[in-house]
Amino acid sequence: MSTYIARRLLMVIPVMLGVSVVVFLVLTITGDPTLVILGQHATAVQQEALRQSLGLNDPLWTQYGRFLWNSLHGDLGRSWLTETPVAEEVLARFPHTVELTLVAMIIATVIGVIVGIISAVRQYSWFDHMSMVGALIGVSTPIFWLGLIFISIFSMKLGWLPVAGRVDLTLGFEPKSGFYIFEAIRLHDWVALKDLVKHIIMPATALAAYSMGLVARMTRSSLLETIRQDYVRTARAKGLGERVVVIKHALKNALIPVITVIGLQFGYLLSGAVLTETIFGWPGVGSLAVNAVQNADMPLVEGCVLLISLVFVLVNLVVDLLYGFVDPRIRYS
Amino acid sequence: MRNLRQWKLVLILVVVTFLGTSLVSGCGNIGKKDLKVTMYAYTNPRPYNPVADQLAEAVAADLTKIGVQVEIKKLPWKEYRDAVSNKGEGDMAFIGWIGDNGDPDNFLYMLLDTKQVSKTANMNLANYSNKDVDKLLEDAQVLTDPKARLEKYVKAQELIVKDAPWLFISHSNDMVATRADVTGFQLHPTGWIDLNKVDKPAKNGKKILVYSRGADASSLDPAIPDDGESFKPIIQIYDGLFKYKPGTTELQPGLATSADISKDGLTYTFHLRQGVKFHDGTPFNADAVVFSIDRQLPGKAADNMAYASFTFGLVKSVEKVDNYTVKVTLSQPYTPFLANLAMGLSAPIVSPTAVKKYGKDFGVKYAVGTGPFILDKWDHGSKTIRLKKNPNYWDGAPKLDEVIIKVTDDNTVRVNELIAGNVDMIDGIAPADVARLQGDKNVTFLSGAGMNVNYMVFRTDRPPFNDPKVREAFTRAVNLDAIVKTLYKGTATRANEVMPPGFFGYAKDVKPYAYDVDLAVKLLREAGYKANKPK
Repeated sequence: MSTYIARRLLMVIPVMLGVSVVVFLVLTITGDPTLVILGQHATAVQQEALRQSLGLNDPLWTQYGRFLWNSLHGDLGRSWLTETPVAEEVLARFPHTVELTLVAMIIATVIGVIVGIISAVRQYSWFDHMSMVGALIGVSTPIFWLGLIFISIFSMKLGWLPVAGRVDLTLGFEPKSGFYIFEAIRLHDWVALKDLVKHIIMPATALAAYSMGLVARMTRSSLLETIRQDYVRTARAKGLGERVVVIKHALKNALIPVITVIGLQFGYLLSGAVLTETIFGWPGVGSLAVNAVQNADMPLVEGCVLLISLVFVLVNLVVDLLYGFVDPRIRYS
Repeated sequence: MRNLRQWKLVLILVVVTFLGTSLVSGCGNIGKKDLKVTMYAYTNPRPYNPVADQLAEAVAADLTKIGVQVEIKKLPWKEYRDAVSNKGEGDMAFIGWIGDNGDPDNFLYMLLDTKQVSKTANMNLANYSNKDVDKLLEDAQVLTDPKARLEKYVKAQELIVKDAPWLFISHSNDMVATRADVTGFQLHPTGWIDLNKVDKPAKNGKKILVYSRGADASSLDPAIPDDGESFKPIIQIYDGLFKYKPGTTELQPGLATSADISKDGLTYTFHLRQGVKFHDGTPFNADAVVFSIDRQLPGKAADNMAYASFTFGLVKSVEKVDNYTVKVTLSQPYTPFLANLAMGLSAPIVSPTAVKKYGKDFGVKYAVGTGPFILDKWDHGSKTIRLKKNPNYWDGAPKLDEVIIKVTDDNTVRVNELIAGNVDMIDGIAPADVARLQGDKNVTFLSGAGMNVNYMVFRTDRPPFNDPKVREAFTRAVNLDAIVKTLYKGTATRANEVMPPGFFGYAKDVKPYAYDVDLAVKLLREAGYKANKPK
């Protein structure tokens, strides 16, 4: 087991090296940044001086070496636009993305699994048909479209939920970390918590839609398969109630493939957050990345991509390891 | 047979008429050359031209209609600047300018004086040179009486428009929208957002205004940044020696009550307002003014002080005369210096005590001026700047209790926030969202020509554009009113001259050559080129 973990962790290195090469090359081939930085008063002399100081005249491999060396030391450079350290900026935004992703994950899992169970138990009922059509819509609707529809209904028409943002700024809620919901609970600030929930519910649901549909369909089909197995028939023959049979016996085994799906969805949710955050003005890494691309702020783009890739790789590793705990039949060697 | 002969006759008649008319219509072109020109255009959107190369297509289409052969060369902005400004490529080139201090010198001298023609990093891209214009512009730099200066600038613009070194296209509008219950807000041509007189109904006993924009400030130390997003909070926190009058770039007293300018134009004596205090309680006096200017002087300014050399580059020395009098000596007479002192960046007066006390944290965590609002907190993580009112403000305490300046990256999201009533005020409005804002009765939409000009230069130093007739013909051949209307959908104002309306130096009676295709054709032929009336 520990050798397996070690091997997988070592595998992270070439993957991240690959990512860094791609990110670096994209950054370099997009050209000379000096005019972006210097603005309209820039002279040729100033441009050359800046090129020197940014090391843009060095050979490509020297530049890459420097980039890699600095990255390994946690120095991702400074934003061209705001001149703040990239690492600082990206890490400040990261908790917001994590919180959004986790809430989306919870919504997707809870609703997805419940709907899946009911559909399986009442196969071919009107609920089953309706929810499977709903799941299909959820799986096939683009996030940005769903987000816009939510906003136009719940914010613009009904005025129930705020259009965008993390928290009502007039409340003066300014916790130390970016995990606002966690902080509100810790500080027992229920007014802020209520407002935070109002802000997170639309983006999280829009983000969760795809995964929710997938989890519901997966749960349904997996449970249907399990229910037909011999041991379930045995349980029923023992005279156990239907509820106990489904929840205690069948569901436990049926959920193994579902957990795989949920685990893999985490990565999807993280990357899907880019769109959701832009639409809902969510101050996370996704909207930071989109903004950085629009401003041609390359060090910042680089920082966002590196962080998201690293988290993606690590989350997949954790999911792989979790299989072993859920399904004792899986052994690592 | 007779019938046939008649038909032949008719046929001959038709042919003769056809040949005759085509000869007559084309006879203006006998012995004339084809006119071939290259037109350079950038492909990246610019603040003064969000549709980039579509503009070039539209202008070229109008020129093609009268038989000019236009070759459009499109380049991304970075390469474009190099080709057009360093290498001097192209017969015509699109470009634009964003003003710094709103003074006409910053537009006219900067972009059209002969001294600004240069082989590399050329500012006067038209290579325009008119001795009379040069004299007017250079005289205006030395004159101190605003009326006399204005006269020079109006005259200069009359000459410039007559010479037509540019195609004067448009001024991109500044656009701000507020909730309808926000009152007292007036748009200023420099983009100055003055929240001092703004009011809104109280909620839970407090008047908190939430203002949403596209990006965070880079620094709140006025000496350092050069971006508009820093300018917005800075002007709430600080005052300069002078400020702009509402709605125009004419100057009025700020922290200085008056200025005496010596006859030779070299010495400026500023009389300071008494009894003003910085937010940290220290008094505003001559020492503060000397400190604020001195740290930006040539040789002393730090590398990251973006506007120091622009604002104070000509200052030789700054001295305290007494507690409320400061003397500034320039190395050469230069009246636009006064306009520099009203700028929201570089010019505002800082608390010397605070700058010394906070060191590197000044402008990052702390900002201390004399302005209508006090910096409460700048949260860099959430990109939120919180201001609270300065009840002792010398020009009357603000009506709002607090101002929250926050960032919403996406333009459309910001508009949604305003329409849904989640925020009170937004800027950075995209053309696509204008109609939605104008149509909403809970929203007040304000727009006016901003501190910029969008234009195309003719290279006046070489054929074909060294001939004023060709320049006039081109100006008359392009239907700019229609182009500006279609391309910018009401987010830009048609330019009649160099200066945007609302600015000191704007000549309201100056108009460029009117759209007149027939005259354009005539002029081109007179200049010796082939031209046709559009079919």
